[in-house]
Amino acid sequence: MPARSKYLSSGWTRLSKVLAMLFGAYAATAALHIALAKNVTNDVPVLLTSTYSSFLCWVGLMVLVFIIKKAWVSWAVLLGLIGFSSLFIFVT
Amino acid sequence: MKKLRGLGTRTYNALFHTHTVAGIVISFALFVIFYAGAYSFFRHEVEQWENTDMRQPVPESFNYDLALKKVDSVYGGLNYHQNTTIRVPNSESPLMYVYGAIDKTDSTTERMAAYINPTDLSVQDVRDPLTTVNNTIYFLHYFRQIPVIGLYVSGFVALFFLFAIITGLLIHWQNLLTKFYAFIKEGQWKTIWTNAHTVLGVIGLPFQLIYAVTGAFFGLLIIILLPAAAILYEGDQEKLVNKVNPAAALKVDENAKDYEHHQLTALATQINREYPGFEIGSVRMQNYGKEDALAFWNITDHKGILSDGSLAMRLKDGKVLEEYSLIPNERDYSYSVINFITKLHFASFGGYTMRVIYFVLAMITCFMIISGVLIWRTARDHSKYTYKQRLFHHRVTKIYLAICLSMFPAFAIIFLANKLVPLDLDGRVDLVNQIFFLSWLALTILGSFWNNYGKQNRNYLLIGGLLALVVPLANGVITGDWFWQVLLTYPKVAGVDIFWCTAGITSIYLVFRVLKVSDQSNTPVKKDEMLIPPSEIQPEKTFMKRKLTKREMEPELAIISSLDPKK
Repeated sequence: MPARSKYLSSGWTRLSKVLAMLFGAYAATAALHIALAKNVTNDVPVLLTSTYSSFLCWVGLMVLVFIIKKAWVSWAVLLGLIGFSSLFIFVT
Repeated sequence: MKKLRGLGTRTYNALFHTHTVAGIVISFALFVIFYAGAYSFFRHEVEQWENTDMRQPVPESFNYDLALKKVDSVYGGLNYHQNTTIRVPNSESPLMYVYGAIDKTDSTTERMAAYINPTDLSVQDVRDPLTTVNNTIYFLHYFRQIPVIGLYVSGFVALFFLFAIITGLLIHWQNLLTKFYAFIKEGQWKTIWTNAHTVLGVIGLPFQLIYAVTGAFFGLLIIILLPAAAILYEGDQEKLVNKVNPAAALKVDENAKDYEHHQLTALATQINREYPGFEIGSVRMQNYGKEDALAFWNITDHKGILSDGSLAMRLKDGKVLEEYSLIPNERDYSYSVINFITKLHFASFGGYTMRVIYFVLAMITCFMIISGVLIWRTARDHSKYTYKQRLFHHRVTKIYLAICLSMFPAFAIIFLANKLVPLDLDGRVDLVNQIFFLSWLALTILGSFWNNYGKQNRNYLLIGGLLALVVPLANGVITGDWFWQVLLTYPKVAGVDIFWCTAGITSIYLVFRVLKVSDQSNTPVKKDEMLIPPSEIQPEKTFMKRKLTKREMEPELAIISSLDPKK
């Protein structure tokens, strides 16, 4: 019983989601970790933790991209995370 | 049994599809990684098996300074201001290993590495090794044979393996508790493969999660740290490294006075006395041969996951500099993470038992990967798909199986090639590699002519099993170390031989006693060419020889008894 195709996105939506899972989710992961590292007194433990938590975070966001139905919503969530983190990286 | 709350229909189908696509794309690469990785757990055993130079007892006392002088003379002077590392002869290898720097004519330095035989102090450059079984298998584990991108490819395979694990867990969430007990070996093929895939997936979950994360760590570390280093450290990686390594604050002076009386051997004895139960793995030195020389001794007891340490020491007086040292089992978080991940990945803790458990779990994972591919194919062998599509699914499966299943005979071949190609032949390492990769290719091509998956499996097991039995024979005849003779002196060598014996006997037993292979081809048939209409084809019921159950012999009776209200 392969997945039923009527529930799957197609064409451009699919391409957009694949790009979101590869690049968007990666950028959001990096941004979240850097924001955290920047706002603690000692960033070394955060950076070292990021060497494994990044993969879990990245994959978690990948799954989220596919749980969300519309590609633009996925992108909005990822860009929202990046923007939110950037506030903590560049503004403070 | 209680069912857990599952996903909604759309989410279920969407994630199911991503699980299938991610799984199929990485499947055979992942199989190669796990299969080669499983053998690499026993790298020290294989090293001693393949290289007869290593078949000597670990020297009880050994003059490191003298050995270093010998290396120095062979390479025309090492640059000791740079890091010079010695891996001392220990339970893992009786050979000493030096990793240092040599000056080039244009005032730059280049790295060198060499093995030193403790018996005759002969020097063997690492780039020109004598044997290659362990190296080839270990390099294959992270695709080092593919130039430049190999490591990253393996890293991304690990990342998508993690993605497949998480999506797999989510889509099976509802049946997680019930399926855990579904050790069913009967029924239709699709059911067998699906149950095997899910049950073994649940059992292997912690192991596979460890490997997906730590594997991605080794392959993609740069990609993860690059943005952080760029933004937080303005790209100054040295600044970052200094924060992670306490010893980086210690500096040596290039123009310090010469000092010729360093006594590494005496210092090693001193450490062995102070840390009973621990073994020195390696020592990294700066400014060896000068007054302010530093040494960092790496010690381990091979047991605990945080029981490694690094002792910083002034070489001249042997004083341990506690504040720059990492005392075993007392390391704080920052100094433990990388070490912890490495140990989890290389199974260098918990001793031999741990590695055997890891090996079995790695083989289970290999089985899971294959069963996943077979689910993919069996679920698509359906009239809903066009003949062309089904033929494509069949061919992909056939080639995947050929690549994966032929690794067992191909690995037996590289072990055999190691013994059959004479040790003193020039360019023997390249020859052994060619033999391995070409025979793997030939076996794959051969296998793609077998149109029945059961037949592929049986034939590869038979070829692999026969070759496996020759491996201990070749070792016995050529080196004279029959495994029953060296069981006590070189248990590692005997262990490798016994492994191949067991593998060979088991495979041949499976081929002749257990496996039942039908003559029916798995190639899809066009509907109008079918001799029997599809509705009348009986699905294959069993994959092992066994007696029929009562239910199968008397279906009516089984139906009646199932209707019995008392039951």
